[in-house]
Amino acid sequence: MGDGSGSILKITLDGITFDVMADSNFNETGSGFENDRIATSGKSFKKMTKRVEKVESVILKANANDKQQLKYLSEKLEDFPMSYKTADGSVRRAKGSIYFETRETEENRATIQLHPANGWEEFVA
Amino acid sequence: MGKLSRTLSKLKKLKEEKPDRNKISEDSALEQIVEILNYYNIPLERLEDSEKSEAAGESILDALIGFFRRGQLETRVNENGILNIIQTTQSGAKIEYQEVGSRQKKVMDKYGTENYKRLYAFLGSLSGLGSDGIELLKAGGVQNDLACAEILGTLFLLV
Repeated sequence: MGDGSGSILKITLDGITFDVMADSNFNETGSGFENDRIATSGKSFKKMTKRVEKVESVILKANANDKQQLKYLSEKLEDFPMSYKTADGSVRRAKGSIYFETRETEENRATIQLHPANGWEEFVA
Repeated sequence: MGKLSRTLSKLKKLKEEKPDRNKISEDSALEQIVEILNYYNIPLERLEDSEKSEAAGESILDALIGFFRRGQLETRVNENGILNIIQTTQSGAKIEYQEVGSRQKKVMDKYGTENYKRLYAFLGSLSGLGSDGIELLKAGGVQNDLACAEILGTLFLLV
């Protein structure tokens, strides 16, 4: 992994590769915990609340056929593998589900969220 | 004995002196291969017909036995009764290949006659990593991960 940044190169959901819009700016959840501190009369202590490491603002090119596939995946009950390749060439993967938010027909843009069951893993061959 | 055969026999001897990296017996490896053949109803003859594989330069069956024996491949039946094949790479990463279906086969249609692109797209679809993930696999080092995936892909193409 290098310092390169930019457009997402590819995304694969349950074995199907979708094209990612070049201006799509994936919004990755930083860590698996939401951290806070609880005040006491003495020292404060750390409160760690577990959260899902969602990836939001995932914008894909979706024609009518892609929309059907995304709808199917979004409504699928079982978790499935998903991965995406970032501009620096690294591949992140997880098993989980997606939330299909909207599709805009003017430019065939579908917005989805990736919801991993157990966090993301960098694939190092 | 000609020069070439002398060199070959020396090479063979040197190779045999390498430590045995096999983790399971040949019989156990064969049992796992039979499990795959039975699961997908692949007749043995079809495997024999495919003889040599470009990827490893040896018969698919021999190569598969080797990969299973070294622990690079293993079979696992999931909670839904579906047979998954797990590949362990030299970095310790696990790649889980799902059941072969029409969706995974269709991804090859995009690539026409580009054999390797087709194979990597197929494996990428089965593993959920995409072809880019498969292309990251290393051919050199402690073990040949790329050849292992390619051989598995060749087997899956018989389904």
